[in-house]
Amino acid sequence: MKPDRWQQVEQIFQAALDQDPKERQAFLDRACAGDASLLSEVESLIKSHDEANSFIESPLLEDQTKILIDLPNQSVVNRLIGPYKIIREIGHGGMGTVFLAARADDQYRKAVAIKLIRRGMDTESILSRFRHERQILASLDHPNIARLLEGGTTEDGLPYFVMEYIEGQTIDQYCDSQKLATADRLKLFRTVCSALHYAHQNLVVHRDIKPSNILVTAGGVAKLLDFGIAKLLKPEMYAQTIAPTETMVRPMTPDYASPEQVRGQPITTATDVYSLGVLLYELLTGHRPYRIPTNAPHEIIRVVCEHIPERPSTAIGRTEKVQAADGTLQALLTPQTVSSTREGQPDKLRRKLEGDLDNIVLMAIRKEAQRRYATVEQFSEDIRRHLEGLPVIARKDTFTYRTGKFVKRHKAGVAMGALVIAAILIGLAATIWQARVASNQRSIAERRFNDVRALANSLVFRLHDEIADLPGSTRARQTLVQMAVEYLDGLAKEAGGDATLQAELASAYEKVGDVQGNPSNANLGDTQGALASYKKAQTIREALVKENRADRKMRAGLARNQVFVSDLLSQMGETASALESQQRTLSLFEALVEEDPRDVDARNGLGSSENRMGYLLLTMGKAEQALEHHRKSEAIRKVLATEKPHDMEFRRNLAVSHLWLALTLVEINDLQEAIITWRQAIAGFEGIAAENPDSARSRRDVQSSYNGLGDALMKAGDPDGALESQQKALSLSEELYATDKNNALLLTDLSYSLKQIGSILVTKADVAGALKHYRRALDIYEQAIAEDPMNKMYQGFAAEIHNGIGNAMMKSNDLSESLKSYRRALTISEKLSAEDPTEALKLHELARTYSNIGNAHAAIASKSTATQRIQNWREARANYQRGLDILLDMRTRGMLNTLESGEPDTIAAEVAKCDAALSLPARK
Amino acid sequence: MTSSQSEVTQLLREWGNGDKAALDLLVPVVYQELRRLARYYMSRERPGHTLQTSALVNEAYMRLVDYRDMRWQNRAHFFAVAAQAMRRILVDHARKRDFAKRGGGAVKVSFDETAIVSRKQDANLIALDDALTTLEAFDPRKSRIVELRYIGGLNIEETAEVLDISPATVQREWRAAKAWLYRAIKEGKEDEA
Repeated sequence: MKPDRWQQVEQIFQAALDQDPKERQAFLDRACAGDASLLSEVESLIKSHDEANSFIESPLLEDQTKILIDLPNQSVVNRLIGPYKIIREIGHGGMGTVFLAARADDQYRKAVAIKLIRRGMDTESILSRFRHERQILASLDHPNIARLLEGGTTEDGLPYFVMEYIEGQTIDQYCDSQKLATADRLKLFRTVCSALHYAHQNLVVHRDIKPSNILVTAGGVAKLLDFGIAKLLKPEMYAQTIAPTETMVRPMTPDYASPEQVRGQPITTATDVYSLGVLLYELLTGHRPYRIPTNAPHEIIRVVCEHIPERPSTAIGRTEKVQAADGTLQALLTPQTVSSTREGQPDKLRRKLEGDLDNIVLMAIRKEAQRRYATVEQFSEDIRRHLEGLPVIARKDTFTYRTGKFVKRHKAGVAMGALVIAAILIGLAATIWQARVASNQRSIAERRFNDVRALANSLVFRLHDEIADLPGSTRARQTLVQMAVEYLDGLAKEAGGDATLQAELASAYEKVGDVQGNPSNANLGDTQGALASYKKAQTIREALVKENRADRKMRAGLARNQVFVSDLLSQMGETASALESQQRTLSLFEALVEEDPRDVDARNGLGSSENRMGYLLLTMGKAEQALEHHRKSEAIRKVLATEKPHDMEFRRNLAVSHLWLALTLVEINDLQEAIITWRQAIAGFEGIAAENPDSARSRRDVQSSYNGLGDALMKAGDPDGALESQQKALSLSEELYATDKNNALLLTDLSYSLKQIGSILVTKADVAGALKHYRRALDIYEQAIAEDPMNKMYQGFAAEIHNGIGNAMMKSNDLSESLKSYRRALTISEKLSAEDPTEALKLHELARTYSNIGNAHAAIASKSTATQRIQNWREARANYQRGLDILLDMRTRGMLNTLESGEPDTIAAEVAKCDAALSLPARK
Repeated sequence: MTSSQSEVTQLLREWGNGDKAALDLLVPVVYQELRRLARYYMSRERPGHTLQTSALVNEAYMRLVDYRDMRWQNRAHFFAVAAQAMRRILVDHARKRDFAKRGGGAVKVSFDETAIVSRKQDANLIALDDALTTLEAFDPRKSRIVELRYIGGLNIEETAEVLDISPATVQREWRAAKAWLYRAIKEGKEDEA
C-alpha cells in the first residue's frame, strides 16, 4: 500500500470510528464517494477493529520475562569473541557453551573451539586462576592433547577459553562404531595415558576425564580436551575440607569422580588414574563400574566411596537399562549388545577380560588413592605387558576389607587427606612387615615388600605433585615426610641382613631426601632434612658395599648416593665437604670402569664425576686442578658420544664438558684455547638444538655458551667480538623468555647478557648504553633476589652491576655517584665473602670493589681542595690496601689464576701512588 | 561513565541521525543487558511474581546510557532499540523453532526450555512480525507504536512520551495499527495495493 493511499484509508477509518455506530455506514458511503475499493478497504479494517478485541493488547512479555532468560544464546553466532568469529554452536554443558570459531583478523583461518563460560560463574576468580595457570596449560604440547590456545573475557565480561578444534567422535562412540577389539581398545587407551603422563610430568592434573572429553579423529588419533579447565572453573571442588560432610562439592561427572574427589580431598595424579580406570572399565565392558542414581551428595559419596565394583569380566554378564538425563531409555545393555561391538561373542569377551585385565582395571579404580597405580605410566606399562603376554604387576585386591575398616574407624575427627594416606600407608606397612617376618615363604614376602615399595613410591610421587598443586599444605606435607622418615627408620631397624631390602630402604631414603631438598626438583626447602636422609642412605649403602664387595650394583649405588650428598653440600655453600664426597664418587666409578671398561653406565658416571670435581675445584679457585678433571671428563664423554652418536644425552654431556673446559681455560688464562673450546661447545649445543627445535633447554645451552664465548673474547682483548657474542646471547634470551614468561631462570639468564654488554660498553666508553643495560639487568636481579633472598649468585651479580655502574659513572666523571654505586657493591660483597671465605669469585669481587672505591677516592682527591684531598687520598689508600690484602692472601692460597696473578702488584702500585700523594702536602 | 555507556549513547545518537548500521551494533548490546537484568530479577523474585518489561527496559536504559546525556531523543531511541531488539530476538527464535518443527533438521535447538511460548504463539509471532514489516514500509510510526506497546511493554502514556506525540494520537494510531495487523494476520494477506 502506498503511504498516501493509506493516509486516506486511515483518515476515513478514524473518522468513522469516531462516529456513532449507527451513523457509521452513512458516513462511510459519503466519505468514500463512489471509490468502491476505498470503501471496502475501510470497511474490512473496521470489521477487523471490531473483531480484534484483546489482540496484542496484553504485552507479549508482561508475565513472561522468562522467555528472555531461557532464550538460547543464539545472538553470539557471528559475534566476535576476542579476535575470533563464532561460526556455530557445537555443544553445551554445565559450564557453558562450546562454539566453533575462526580467527576473524588473520590470514590463516584456523578453526578453533571456544568454550564460553556461562553467566553466574565467578568470572573474576576464573580469570585470575587462568592468568596464573595459562603458561603451564598453554605449554602442554603433546600429540594427544588438544592445545589450549588462549583465554580472555568477552566484551560483556564472560570468560572464554580458546582451544584447538578437534573433529571426531568421543572415544566410547569411536570404539563402538569401529567395533574395535579389546587389544585395539587397549592400544588406543594407552595413547590417552601417554598424554596424561606427559601432563603429570608438567604438574598438570586433568581432573575431569570422561569419554566426552576424549575425541578420536577420523585418523584414529585420540585427543584429550579441557586440560586444567576443571580446576580453573571449580577450584572449590579441589579444596581441602576438614569434615567431608561440611563441604560437599559435586564433581561435574560423578560417575568418573574418585573417592577423594567427591570427599573434597586433595586432588593428585592418582585422581586421573582413577578416572582413567573408570574409562577403561567402560571401554572394555560397555558398563560403568557403577551408575549414580541421584544427585544427592551423600548418595554420591556413598556409592563412589563404598560400592565395590564387579570385575569387568563379570560385569559384561549384566543386563542394564541405561537412562538418559530425562529418564527415557537410552540404551539396553546385554551381554550380546556389549560383545557385538567388541569381541563378537560374550564368551570370547569374557575370556579376554578374565585375569589380567580384571586386575589391571580394578587396581586403577581402587578406593584408596595410594593403592592404585602409582603413576599413569605404570598403569599404561602394565597394559603393555598384558598386550605382550608378560606378567603384570596388578594383583587381586586383598586389602580392601582391612583398609576399608581402617578408614571407617578413623573417619570422624581426622583431617582427611594427606595425613590419612600416610596413616594408611604406615598401618599397611606394619601389617605387611609383620606378615613378612612371620612368613618364611620368600616369594610371598618379596611380593608384599614390593607392595610396600610401590606405596612408598606413590607417596613420594604424590608429594611432588602436591608441592606444585596445593599451596598452603606445606605443614601437611612436612608431616607426611616426617612420617615417611619414621616409617623408614622403623623398617630399617627390622630389615636385618637382607641386602635387597637394605638397598630398597636406601633408595627410599634418597627419594625422601629429594622431596625434602634436592635442588633440581620441586622440594620442601628442608636442606638439613634432605642431607640427613641422604646420609642415612649413605650409611646403609656403605655397609652393603662392605659386605658385598663384588656387587658392582651396590658400589654404583653408593657412588650415586655420594653425588646427591655432594650436590646438596655444594648447594649449601660447603664446597670443601662437597669435594670430599665427590672424591669418593670418583674413586668408586674409577674402580668400576677399571674392572670393566665396557660398562657404559659406569663410564658415564665417571664422566659426570670428573665434571663435578672440576666444577667444585674451579669454585675453590683451583683452576689448574680443575682443568685436569675437565680434560678427563671431556675425553670420556667424547668416546661415549662417538660410540652412541644417536644418544642425545651423551652428546649434550660432551658439549657440557667443553663448556666447563672452556671456563677453566679462561681461568688459567689460556684464552686462545678457551675461545676454540667455547666454539666447540656452541657447535655441539647448536647441533642438538637444531634437532630439537622445541627444546628450551638446548636453546638455553646455546645461549649460555655465547655468554661464555663473549666473556672469553673480552678477556682476550676483543671487545667487538665480545659484544657480538653477548648480543647473540641476549637475543636468544629474549626469545626464550618471550616463550615462557613465568620462568624466572630465563629472566636472570637475560640479565646476565645485559650485565656483560653493560661492562663491554663501559670499556668502549658508551656510558649511556652501559647504564641502560646495567639498569635493566639490575631491576631483574633485584626482583629475583626479593623472591629468593637466599640466592647468593644473584646477589653476586647485583654487586658486579653496582661496580659496573660505578665504572660507567667514573667514565662520565660523576665521581660521587660512582662512589655510591661502589659502596652498594661493597655492602653485598662483604656479606657474601663473609658467608663463604673459600669461594674465590666472591673474594675477588670484594677485592675488586675495594680497589674501585680506591680509584674513586683517588679521582676525587685529584680534583679537590687541600683538606679534602688529603682525606680522599687516605680513603683511597685504605681501600687499596684492603683490596691488596685480600689479593695477596688469595695468591698465597693459590686462588688467583694466571691472568689475575699480576693484580696484587697493580694495586700495590696504587697504594704507592697514594703514599706519594700523601707525602707531598706533608712536605709543603 | 563507562566506555560502553558512552558508546551506547554515541550509537543512539548516530541511529537518531539516520545511521541504520548503528542499530545493528546496538541490538546485541541491549539484548545482552536485557537478558542479564531479566536473569538478575528473576533470581530474586518469588515464583509467580511478575516483572514489568518496561521496568526492565528502563533499568537497562539507566545502565547502558550515559545519564548526563539524557535528552528525550536518546531515551526514545533507546526504548525503540530495546523493543526492536526484543522483537528481533523473539522472532528469530520463533522462526528457528518453527523451522526445526517442520523438520528443518540440522539446526540443533533445545525446545524444552522455552515451553512457555506455545507453538501457536510462535506462529502468531512470526505472522505478526511479517505484518509489522509490511506496515513499517508505509507507516513506520505505527510499527514503532506496536513494538513499544506489545513487545516493549510500554503503556499509552509512556509510548507517547517516547515518541513525543500526544497520548490521544498513540491511542488513535494504535487502533488503526491493531485493526490493520489483525486483518493482515487473519487473512494471511500482505497488502500489495
